[in-house]
Amino acid sequence: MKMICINCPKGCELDVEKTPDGEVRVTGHTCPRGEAYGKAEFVNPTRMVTGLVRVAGMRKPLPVKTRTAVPKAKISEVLFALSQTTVQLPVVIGDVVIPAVAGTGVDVVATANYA
Amino acid sequence: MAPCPTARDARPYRGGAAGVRALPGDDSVTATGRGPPMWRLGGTPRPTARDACPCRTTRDKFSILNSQFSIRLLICVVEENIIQHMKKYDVIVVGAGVVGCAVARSLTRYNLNVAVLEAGSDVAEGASKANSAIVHAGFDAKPGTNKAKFNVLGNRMFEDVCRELRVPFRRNGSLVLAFGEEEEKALADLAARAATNGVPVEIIGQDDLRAREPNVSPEATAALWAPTGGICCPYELTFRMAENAAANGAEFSFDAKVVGLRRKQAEGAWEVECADGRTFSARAVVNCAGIHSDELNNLVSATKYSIQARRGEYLMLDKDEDGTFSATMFQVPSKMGKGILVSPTVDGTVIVGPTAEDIPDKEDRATTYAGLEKAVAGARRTYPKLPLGKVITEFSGLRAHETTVGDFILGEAPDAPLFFNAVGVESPGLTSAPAIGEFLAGEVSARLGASRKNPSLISKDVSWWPKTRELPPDELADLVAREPAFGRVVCRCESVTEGEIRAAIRARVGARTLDGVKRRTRSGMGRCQGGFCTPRVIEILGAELGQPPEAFLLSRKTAPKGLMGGARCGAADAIADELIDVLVIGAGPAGLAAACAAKEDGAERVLVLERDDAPGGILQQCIHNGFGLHRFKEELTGPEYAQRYVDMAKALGIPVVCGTMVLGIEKGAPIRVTAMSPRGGLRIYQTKALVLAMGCRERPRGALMTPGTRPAGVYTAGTVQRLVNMDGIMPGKRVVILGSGDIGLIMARRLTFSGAKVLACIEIMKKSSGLMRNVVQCLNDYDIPLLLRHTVTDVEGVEHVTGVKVSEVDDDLKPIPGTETHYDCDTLVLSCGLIPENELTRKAGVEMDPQTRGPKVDAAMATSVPGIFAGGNVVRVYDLVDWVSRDSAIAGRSAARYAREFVSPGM
Repeated sequence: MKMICINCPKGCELDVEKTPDGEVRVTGHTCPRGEAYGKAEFVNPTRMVTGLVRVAGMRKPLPVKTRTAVPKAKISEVLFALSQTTVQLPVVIGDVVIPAVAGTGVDVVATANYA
Repeated sequence: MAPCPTARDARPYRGGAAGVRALPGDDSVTATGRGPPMWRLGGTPRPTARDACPCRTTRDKFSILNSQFSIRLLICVVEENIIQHMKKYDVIVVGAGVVGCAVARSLTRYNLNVAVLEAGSDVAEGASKANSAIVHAGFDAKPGTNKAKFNVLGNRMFEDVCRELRVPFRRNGSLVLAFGEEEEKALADLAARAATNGVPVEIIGQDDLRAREPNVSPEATAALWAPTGGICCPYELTFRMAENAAANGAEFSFDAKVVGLRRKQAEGAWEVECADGRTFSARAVVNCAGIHSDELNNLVSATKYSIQARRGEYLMLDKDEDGTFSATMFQVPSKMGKGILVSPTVDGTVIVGPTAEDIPDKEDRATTYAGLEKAVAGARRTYPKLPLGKVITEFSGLRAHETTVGDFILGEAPDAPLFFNAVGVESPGLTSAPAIGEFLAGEVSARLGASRKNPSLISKDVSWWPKTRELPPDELADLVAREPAFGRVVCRCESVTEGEIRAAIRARVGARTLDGVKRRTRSGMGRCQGGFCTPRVIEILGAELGQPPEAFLLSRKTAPKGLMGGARCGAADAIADELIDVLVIGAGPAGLAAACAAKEDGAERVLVLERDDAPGGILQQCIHNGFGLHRFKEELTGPEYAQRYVDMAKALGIPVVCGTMVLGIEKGAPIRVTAMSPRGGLRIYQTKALVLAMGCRERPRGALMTPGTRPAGVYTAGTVQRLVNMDGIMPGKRVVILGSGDIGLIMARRLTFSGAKVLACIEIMKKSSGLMRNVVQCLNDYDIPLLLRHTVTDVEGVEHVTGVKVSEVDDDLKPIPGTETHYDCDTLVLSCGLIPENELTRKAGVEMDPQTRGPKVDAAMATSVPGIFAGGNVVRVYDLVDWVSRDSAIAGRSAARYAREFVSPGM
């Protein structure tokens, strides 16, 4: 399976395959992070999700992110959870906005300070 | 809101009320810009003509009754009854272009009740907003025609009219170029014609021409010099004419397309019916309907006219090109018109055009590839070095060319008593407008037996407000101290403040749309074409008119009714007046990194000036992740990355003054920086060293020369990013993205996340201009097709985008005929490159690098001017913020070193 590594702007072209003995092998990477990405993308692709939630009494939305990457298949559920959420001020960076979102075990946290 | 019967669309603007008022002493003002010292922004915004219920005015008049609900209701009912009856006037002027407004203004000099009905949603919506902006000398009109007569009369009136209306006008003179002997003969004919028309001209030779206009083509062998030619701002002229007419009692109704006209013999009046059912009655009607003036005439008269729409396409060049030519440069005229000209404008840009093409559709104001190419080719005859990279926008206008007579048709129709025509007013219509106004007002008043008003009763008010960019520093400082809104710059390219925008909305015939604000203030007319200011202007419109800001994105026309808008606030911290060591312009990742590095390197007094209301720069709206892997060894989102630097600056005790726009930089030792803020007013900062960190801006549609109409719904990716991520506004549901820059790719995903359908991302080159990782995780992840070697070849939609055409391109990047596909969409997002923002840099006399479009810098990030350093996207466009901060920190350290070694010349 060919893919492009998204870890850094270099965008290395990876070739990932499963060897007959069941091992996932990555070629084309130029750093250890690339190798790890290739394996993960092959087995269980994940993405960090960044988005917006409503803030009570404000037009301006609050930017948030999943603290770590979540399975790609869960992205739409995460987005739905964000759309159902309204936060109260004040908020600081790192505050948990939705704990363990969409059954992923990953928290959604604030990425801006709103007084 | 008052629970009263509303008469939507029924209430015209009241001439008598004033939103923007000049206090006593107004009549003594002159057009040179010296306003009355006590000019004030009027108290409250006015209801729109369209959403107002009549009781609002009543309530204004009898505010004492405000709480007495039953009385208010009664008054409403009374007014409602009046409105249900036909509104009766002495004169109705149909059309609020420059001719209609000139006629209306002249009519208000007589004892007459005047109304103006306009089919569009604002004044100057037709040819008056899209023309060459030239006050013609009058040498080329055929002697004996109305065109010749009114051109010459109008030209002579322009100084006085523009002084009275306080609009800019410059007699820069016109030159008609001849290329070779054949055309020199034509010049001689023109000179003879000029003599007959009574217009002073002179034929000059090549040497004289080159001495006057060094940038003119060496191929031009001679020229006709007409010193009385001039330039003006056509929409500002129209708008001020309307304001002055309204100040003298004229009432304006918009979205009032006249569809029926009947003479009621018994009443001795005309009944005027509008498309929306409104009816009006007047003793006399003046037809100033421009491109539709034939249709109106043909409703009532057996003498039929026929208007052919003749489209002219134009390009506008950046202010960098100011001074390229001092006169208006014509070529020898042809049968189709005066040919393609290149001319300075009163606003400091350069206008190029128009083409001349007869088209069947009277509403087709789209630009075309062929037309724009023709305009460029024609202009290059005059100006061979015409730089396409300096094009900021294109537009087209429609001339109302009358085909049966071929001249202005002015006066009472022979078989329709008290129906007066201004039919076929094409070029030189703008020049002639004041004279046509006087003439027709004279005719109408004579027929109606109306007397002239006592001059002392005629108001000179034009709802004037100060243009901050033109004020001398001391007056600007006074103004901002009195009216803080004039210290907050909203449109940075044209330096338009919030105060000016509010004044434009509160005027008698005030702005009701983004375009209305734009034409009255120039906000959004500069090189970024509204990229930065659009979100702010819609917010102000919303707050002033009591509607949600996004309503003003829907259409070029008036926004629909809605709920209350928000309010703004901003603050500037007090700072010391002493000599600063390192002053930094811009509190984005570049500016803050430079400031922190300077402080860490030992600079004591470090200060950062920021135009936005909060530090962080563009990163505030970049809510996606992918920042900081190099700088902080972890993956952050934009706001998180920005906050790291904001915190660092705070920990180092570096003051960041927000809401402050730098207006000028004066090199020297120390360097003097002039800046303005709502609270701090105008101040001059003195600094040993300066770091420029203003960032970059996006290439607007105008710079891409994408043909088509100019509807609402075309935005740069950064503008969409701001709207969605910071203002909570979704601009559309079906989106096409042109260009594959990183912001465009990021926005493809963001818009998908927010519920929009992104149909395709179109890239003219063979590969994406954005990072591969963004193609993967923003397009591929969501099955958004990336069409390489394709471009948008047409934009469709009159009010709002309805679709785009996309074509494949060949190796020369030219569209291949027959490869067109069509996309139904409501939004076109542009992500076609970023340009360092160096307005201030250039003003400071810093040497520029034509490749990067930023200042030339050495390894220490020093510019060519001693003490001035630069960092970040102002130098060149980076793909990673981590490198912005790294290189900008070098600029900060270099500035600190320079400050340490600084010796004041006075010591």
